[in-house]
Amino acid sequence: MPLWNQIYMAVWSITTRPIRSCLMALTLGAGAGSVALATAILAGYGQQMERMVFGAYARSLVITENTLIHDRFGPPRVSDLEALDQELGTLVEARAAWRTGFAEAQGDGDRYEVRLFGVVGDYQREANMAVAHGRAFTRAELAGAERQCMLGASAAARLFARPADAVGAPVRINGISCAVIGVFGPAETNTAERYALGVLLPFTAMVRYFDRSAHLAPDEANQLTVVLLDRRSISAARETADRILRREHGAPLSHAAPFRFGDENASLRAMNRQRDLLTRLLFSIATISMIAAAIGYGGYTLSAVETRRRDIALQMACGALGSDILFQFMLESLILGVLGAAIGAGVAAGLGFLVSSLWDIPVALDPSLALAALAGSIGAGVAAGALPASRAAAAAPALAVKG
Amino acid sequence: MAGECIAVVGRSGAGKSTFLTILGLLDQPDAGTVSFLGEDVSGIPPAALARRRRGRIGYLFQDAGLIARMRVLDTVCLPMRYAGRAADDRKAAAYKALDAVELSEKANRRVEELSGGERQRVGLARALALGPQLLVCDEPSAALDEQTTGVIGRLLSDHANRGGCVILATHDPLLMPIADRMIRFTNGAAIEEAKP
Repeated sequence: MPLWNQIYMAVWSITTRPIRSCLMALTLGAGAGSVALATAILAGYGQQMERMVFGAYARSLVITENTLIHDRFGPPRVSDLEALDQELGTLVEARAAWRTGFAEAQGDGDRYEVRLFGVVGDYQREANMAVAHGRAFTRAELAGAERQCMLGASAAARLFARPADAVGAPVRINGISCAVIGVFGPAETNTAERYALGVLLPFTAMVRYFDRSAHLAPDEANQLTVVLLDRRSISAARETADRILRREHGAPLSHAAPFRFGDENASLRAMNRQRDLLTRLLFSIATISMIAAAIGYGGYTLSAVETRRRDIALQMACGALGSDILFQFMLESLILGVLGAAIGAGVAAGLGFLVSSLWDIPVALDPSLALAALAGSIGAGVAAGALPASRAAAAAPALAVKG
Repeated sequence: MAGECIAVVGRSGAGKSTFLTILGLLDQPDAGTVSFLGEDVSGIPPAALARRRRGRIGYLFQDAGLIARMRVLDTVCLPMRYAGRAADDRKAAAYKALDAVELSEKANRRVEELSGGERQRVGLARALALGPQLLVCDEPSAALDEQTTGVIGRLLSDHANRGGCVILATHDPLLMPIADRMIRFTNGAAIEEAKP
């Protein structure tokens, strides 16, 4: 029998019993939806955790001086960024050089010790906080040496009675006046948290006016951060960076590495291992739902075969082969599986949106959801429909004679 | 047998329906041999049996044997669909068969919306649509009025006159006259009798 006719018969069978077909598709949809929702929650949870714990560090090379060895090669320099940029080129998304220190600061009240962050480059990958008052630094301001600063939310709250009043007011750092141009909002990630009680300044301004540490030359930084486009390129980028920095600082390969490369990726892998445990748990639950749905669907199909035995025998008396009947029932399962997947993906997306809005559970809705639902639903439908279909195919055509 | 109409009679339970089932290649006998168009088909697999009957054998069952939710047109097209006939051919042949049983105006109705007589006529249209060499009818007029029985008798007779073979299990005196020969089932034995 031609394929088109097989499809016609399968669609006819589905559409002439719409309520039963809807129930069957819903059964598969419920199972597929649970798999898709579990996938969405896991993906959302993973992304959220990664963002909260590591921020941009998850895909960054963080280069600092290797303080465990005393050598003549010194800390990294701001100029190293350019060399790194030239060699790593397309792998790099952003870069920054940081100089850190502590200072005594005073706003419109008492003095407090605060942390100073002198930066040049793209600081917002690490200090990724919204600006609550005032404005952010421009690229030109960061490259310059003006005595301007931005305050972390906690620092602003300590130094000023009303943080909003800090904007435009001077803050005295180690007794030297500096104009506040903006105040950050609350930190939402662990990486940003360190800037909450800090003062952010242009790198050169910090070196020139506020940094009292004597061990760093003007061009030297405590930390270089190179944010990569893809986390997977960290290992390769690290090797390249080590080679470049050794060359720039004249450190031979035979010498111990003069710089340390912060491997946040290792921590990330550890976190992912924990997440994998949760993944297994959630997938176990979702799989049980899928199995329950498949059993329910199989029961429906088996019952349908029993009630349609004479119809099947009549089809066979009209010329259908057992294989035609088998194929027709398998096609029905396939079509209902696709319908179930559509329902499942829709339910998962709807529920995902709901739980995300109501309980702030992170949910990542993406095309893989639909694929997970499609695979689950079709797989369950075809697997559970196989036995009833084979029973239908084995029906005796002689049953057609019996009314 | 071609061009003949054979009546099969006997008491209930005598084995008429079983005989027709085997004759129509819907089942295999427990013993003995079955020959169809000169070929011994005893013991061949169900799929091979189905291929032999495809397009060659038509059936008219006691209760018409229709699928209740199917449209009349689709019902008549069903054997042609399985025989692999093209859609246009199918439709033309189906309307021709429905014209013959005077039901073409109900082609788009569902079978379950038809009366008993109409269903039996649709069943006959389905059986005749492919022009089968053998038409097997099991008590086709059991629940029909005289007029419908007459229509069915005429169509069966026409089919035999066109060279088809009609085998008919019936007790209906209105259908008996169309039979050329009669086989009576008594105590498990089939006895051929003269023309009724």
